[in-house]
Amino acid sequence: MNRSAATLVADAVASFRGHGWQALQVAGDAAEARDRLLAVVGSMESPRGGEGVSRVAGNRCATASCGRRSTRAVRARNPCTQPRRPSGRGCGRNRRYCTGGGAATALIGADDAYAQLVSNLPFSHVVLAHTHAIVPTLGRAWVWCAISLKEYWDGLCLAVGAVSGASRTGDIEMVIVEGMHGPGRVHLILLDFPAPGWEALPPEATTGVESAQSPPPRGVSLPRRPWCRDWCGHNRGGTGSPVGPSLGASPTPRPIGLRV
Amino acid sequence: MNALASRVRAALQDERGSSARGRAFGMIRPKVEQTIAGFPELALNTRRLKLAALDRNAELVPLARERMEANGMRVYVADTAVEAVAHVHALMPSSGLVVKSKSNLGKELHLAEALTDAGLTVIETDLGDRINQMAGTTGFHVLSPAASIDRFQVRDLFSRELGEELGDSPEELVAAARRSLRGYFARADHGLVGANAIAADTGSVCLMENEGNIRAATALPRVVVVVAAITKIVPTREEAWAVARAASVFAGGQDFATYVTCLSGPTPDGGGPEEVHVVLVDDGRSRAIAEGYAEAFACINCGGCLNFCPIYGQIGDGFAGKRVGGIGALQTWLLDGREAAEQGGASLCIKCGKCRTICPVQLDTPRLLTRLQTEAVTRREAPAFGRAADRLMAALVVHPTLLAGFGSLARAYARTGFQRLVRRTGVLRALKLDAAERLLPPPSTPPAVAPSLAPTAPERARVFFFRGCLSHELLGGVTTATLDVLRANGCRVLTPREQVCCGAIHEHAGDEDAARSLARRNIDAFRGEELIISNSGGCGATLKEYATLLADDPDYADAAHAFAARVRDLSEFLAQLGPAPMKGIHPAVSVTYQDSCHLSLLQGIRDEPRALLHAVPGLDLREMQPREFCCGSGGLWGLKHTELSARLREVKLEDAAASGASIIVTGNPGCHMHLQGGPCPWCTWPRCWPPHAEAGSLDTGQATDDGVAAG
Repeated sequence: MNRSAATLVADAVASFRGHGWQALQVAGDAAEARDRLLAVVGSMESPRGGEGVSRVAGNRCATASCGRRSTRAVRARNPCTQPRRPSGRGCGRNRRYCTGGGAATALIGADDAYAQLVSNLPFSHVVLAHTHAIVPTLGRAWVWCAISLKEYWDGLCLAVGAVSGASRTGDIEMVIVEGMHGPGRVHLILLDFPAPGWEALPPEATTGVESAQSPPPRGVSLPRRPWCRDWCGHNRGGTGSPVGPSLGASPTPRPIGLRV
Repeated sequence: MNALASRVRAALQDERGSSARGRAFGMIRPKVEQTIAGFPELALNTRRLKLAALDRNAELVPLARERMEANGMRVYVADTAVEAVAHVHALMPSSGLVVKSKSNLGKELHLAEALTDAGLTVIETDLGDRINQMAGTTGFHVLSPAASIDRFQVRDLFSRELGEELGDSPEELVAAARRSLRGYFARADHGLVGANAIAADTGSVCLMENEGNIRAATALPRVVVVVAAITKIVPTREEAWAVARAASVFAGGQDFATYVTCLSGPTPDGGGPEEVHVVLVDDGRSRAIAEGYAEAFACINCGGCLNFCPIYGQIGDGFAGKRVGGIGALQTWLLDGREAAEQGGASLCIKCGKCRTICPVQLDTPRLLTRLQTEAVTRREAPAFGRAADRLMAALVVHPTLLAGFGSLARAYARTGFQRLVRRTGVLRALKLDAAERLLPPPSTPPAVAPSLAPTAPERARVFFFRGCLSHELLGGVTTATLDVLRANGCRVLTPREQVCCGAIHEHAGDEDAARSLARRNIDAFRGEELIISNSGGCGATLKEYATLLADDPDYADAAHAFAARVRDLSEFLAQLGPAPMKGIHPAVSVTYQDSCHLSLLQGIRDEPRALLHAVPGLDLREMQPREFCCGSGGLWGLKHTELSARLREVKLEDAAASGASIIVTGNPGCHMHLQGGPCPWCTWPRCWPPHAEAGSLDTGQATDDGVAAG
């Protein structure tokens, strides 16, 4: 990781923390990331008395359940995640495109509503992202999302959502209370090791640093990039690998740039 | 008393609501101002974006429709509000549960009421709206619709709803609301949401929020219905995103809202809705755009203007009809006509211009309302001056002889003791003239101004002096002080006798012909190259607008442009010239500066008067908080809305007293007379007349003069 990329990551972590996120950077490998994730999940609090939510959109969606005795997690089926045995306590996890740049926003594009629900229903929400998914500005995040979607999602993603912190309201006497409808706690775990296939990206993508080149205009045909298919195991055309890296598997280690 | 006046009076008497708003805005305002400062280009960019989109609206509507339908959404364009409601109704079952998110258009269409009447159970899912729904009240404020309801009432409402005794901490109440509303989300088959923006290129509906209810309402129900005005359509998804960001920054002072969702279609196999319906509502908007009022619909409904509106701050939803605030009155005028706008409170807008400064699209609501009023007057649909007192005032200021006679009578009225006698009888109150009479300042004979006055210091400049009409007659001391200051600063002062009223009163009332006539007379009176100095923020702002006023006059357009470029406020001019050294005031006094809206918000003159005051040795300038808030003068507005005007004055005087200063300095005679007519905040008596020995209000010319003369 070069210096500007390291700065970008450090800025992003600081920005997310400044916006109320529990931001954590994990160096090492997937095994360490898994341990850290389990530690984060294990320390999560649950709403008092449990919420008793056991139904999400009838029988069409995963179950989100929170409470002391009910400990299930939901995981979004988005291009960058793989099905995984639920564990943890009242937590939703998914991978996103992240931005620093002061806004501390996680952005995800998906062709289903699971990601929206995961970011919305549990009381705690964990975002997993690789550091090379960090971009400096909201606009840049959107461009990256659009680029990948344009190529792999036929130019359109049916549900794109941004999360910038805990669900909150100030409707009672202007006192800000978190956890109104969505998560009251938000966690960001940044994985400071590469996903397989990431090397195929151009330098500005792997560093996330703003490129001098302006983003490609709409309608311009982009060169096909193998990284998303290999990394995510998702491709609408069905040619990608069905199994991508999971937290249980150890991808090839790569030198670590920064540990926070 | 008409309905509007009753509503205003009731709102003014609602101390609980006023207190809640004060608390809410006291928190929001500094946060928003601080955040806006970090986005210097955002408002300009959002304005460009929205205006460009509105220019292409006729083209974008079918494009957006086509893309949304290609994505699997079902789109309906409703020409009228009735059609829109009927279509939404047709999409719903005959009975069942609907979860609804916050929607300004939904409130405008009374959608929840219509569906409830049809047998459906509509649950508001935004906490503020839900509290209002349970309490049976209404709340228009976008960010905090339940600001007028305290925690104890909320506790009682949710205790009843959940059948358990709840505590009154906001945390516990929010947790209870979460539990309560989760149940509705789980059972609802239909969701009803609005839209912050719609992207035509991808057919995406962009929604921003902090609570998470919109995300749930667009992902959980089987059928999602989006109701949005056609003016929400922008060309691209990136621009929709930019609109959401602007709304986040200007509405609540956030970098970005907690949740922004772009919904582009149904996702039946992905855990989302099976059907997504979009109802695009025109209801007169395309007509208004074609008539040149696109700017009125560039509004992104962030509600930021309400946070800073002095009128909304005092009366809350009393400043609302079908829509809320000045922008609501403007849109109502365009969509539903003048009478509906009047009922909604169009006349309540004091036109201070504060809303424009904190609007994400820099929407000039006061100017557009004035333009509509002018058109109504031109078409003879409304009188420029509806009341006899207004007509008298408008006639007085254009006839110097009549005005001089009025000034003489006013001075005699005060000096002979007749004023004290009349006040004791209570006849003024009976005739509803007490508020106007209270504006009369202590008698001060205007000086006989020679056409040319030599400087009293080495000559540095030749300037014209615009002495004004009412201010000159009623605040003669200010005229004298202004001339002395200019001469002491080495200015030869030319004061044409042919000058007349600037025309502000007529322009604001929509009598543009009279305003143009006065403008032409002043342009003729001030022929030359010299700068034109005004000691009145209100007059100066109007004089600087002559170029716009006479833009269509082939004979005067160029001259008006040149004239406007020569106009300077006194403080502005002295700051440019470099004021002559001033000797000190003994003993030292503390003053606070009241920003006149016309000077600070319309002319952007904020630092110059303060620099002058700082330059006076022995004068301690103490800022009142908040700065730049209207004192409630408003010219004829103050005489029409007397109670509201008096309330704003009370607030301003309390702010001034809290600053610790003993003198209020202001740069506008309207503010000067208005503040001087209020109860003295430094005295224990409810009214101090003559004013307290140290209290009063001077304009900047007077204060500066004191500084000079004291040495």
